[in-house]
Amino acid sequence: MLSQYFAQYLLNHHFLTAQQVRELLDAESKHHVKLGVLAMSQNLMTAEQVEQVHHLQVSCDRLFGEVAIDEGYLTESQVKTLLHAQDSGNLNLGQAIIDKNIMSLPQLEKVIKDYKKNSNMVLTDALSLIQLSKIDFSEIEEVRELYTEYTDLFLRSVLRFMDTAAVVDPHAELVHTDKETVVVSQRLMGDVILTTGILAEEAVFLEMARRYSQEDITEVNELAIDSVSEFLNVTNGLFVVNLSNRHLDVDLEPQKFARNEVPFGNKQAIIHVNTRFGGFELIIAADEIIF
Amino acid sequence: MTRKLKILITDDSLLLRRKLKQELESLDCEVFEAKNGKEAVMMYLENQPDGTFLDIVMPEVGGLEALKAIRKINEKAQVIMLSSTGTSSKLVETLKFGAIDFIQKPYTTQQIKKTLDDIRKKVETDA
Repeated sequence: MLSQYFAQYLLNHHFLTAQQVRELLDAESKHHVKLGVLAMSQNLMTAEQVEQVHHLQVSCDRLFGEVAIDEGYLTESQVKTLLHAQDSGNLNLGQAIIDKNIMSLPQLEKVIKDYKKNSNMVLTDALSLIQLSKIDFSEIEEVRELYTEYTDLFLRSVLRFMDTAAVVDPHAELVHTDKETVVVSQRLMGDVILTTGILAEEAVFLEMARRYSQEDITEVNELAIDSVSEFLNVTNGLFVVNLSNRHLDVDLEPQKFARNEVPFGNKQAIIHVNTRFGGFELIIAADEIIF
Repeated sequence: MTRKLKILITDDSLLLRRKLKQELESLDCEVFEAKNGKEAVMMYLENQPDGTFLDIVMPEVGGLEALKAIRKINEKAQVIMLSSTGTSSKLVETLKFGAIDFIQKPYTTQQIKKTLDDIRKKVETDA
């Protein structure tokens, strides 16, 4: 996850292109070891305990270490040690940047220092760079915070359920594709009104479906559409739970889908997301998405 | 008790029905499926399952309406809500209308096993 935010920072500031980020994250992910695996390998937790923490983590959107401490499986000191061991793995992203001559060591050192000063603003900065349907996103203050919060959760959800880092590409040009596309969406109604959606070319959509369902889906059929819809539903559910912790009561409506349609909504943001297996659009609107 | 538990699963998600059915059948249950609340009530009447898993957000008739209808048919019906919106208000609402438990998606095998144990104990007690 640390690499995901660092990669986002590099992309925001044009240190890397979207393609480079994708390749580097792909290479880095082959060496990334999750905290649960590290804990098991050091006999600090059993597999059952790790699975239990993963479930609690997903249903309440918290970090593995936080949940493991609350459940009494790990101490704070043990979590710190494990994170340190994991950090050594995350440095692979930096190493890959050097190995590919994208930056020199002094340049990388400066970038890492600057990143650490601004790491909590990385996603906000990315979204501020995105044009919101020809309206400057920074002018829509009342939705900016909400959209940023949702996007942050969504990217974590992609990481957890699809086993890939995901970064927002704030510089992506939105082009009309000739390829077949699929869009799924779901409306959140109540104290907060929002519609979120995923729009992807068929090949990427299919890969998302495969990764979420863990099934060998070979075409964009009912199961594929349902898989991505269910991923969106679970992600939105987590968002609803987060909102309820702030005493905001929100319900979900059934999901919708369409093929080869361009969605349109009020205060709609189309956020291009890059992953190891390709890019897709995360769509957020302040009301219904029509397609 | 040697007979298989009869379990009804209700969700508009084909993926979820498929996965949960596989899980339940591997735990030696006889499984019935419904895609929405209206079908769930019909399947309940036809098959009298020992336990029912109900999603909340579904087209046509949602889970809460189905829960109320099933509990009217059988006030001892064992209904477990299985939903992505695990807020405390949703939990309170579903328990108020007679659900015996609420599981937030994604579920774990442990949760399903525990639920089946609870259902089986109740069935054996009522037998």
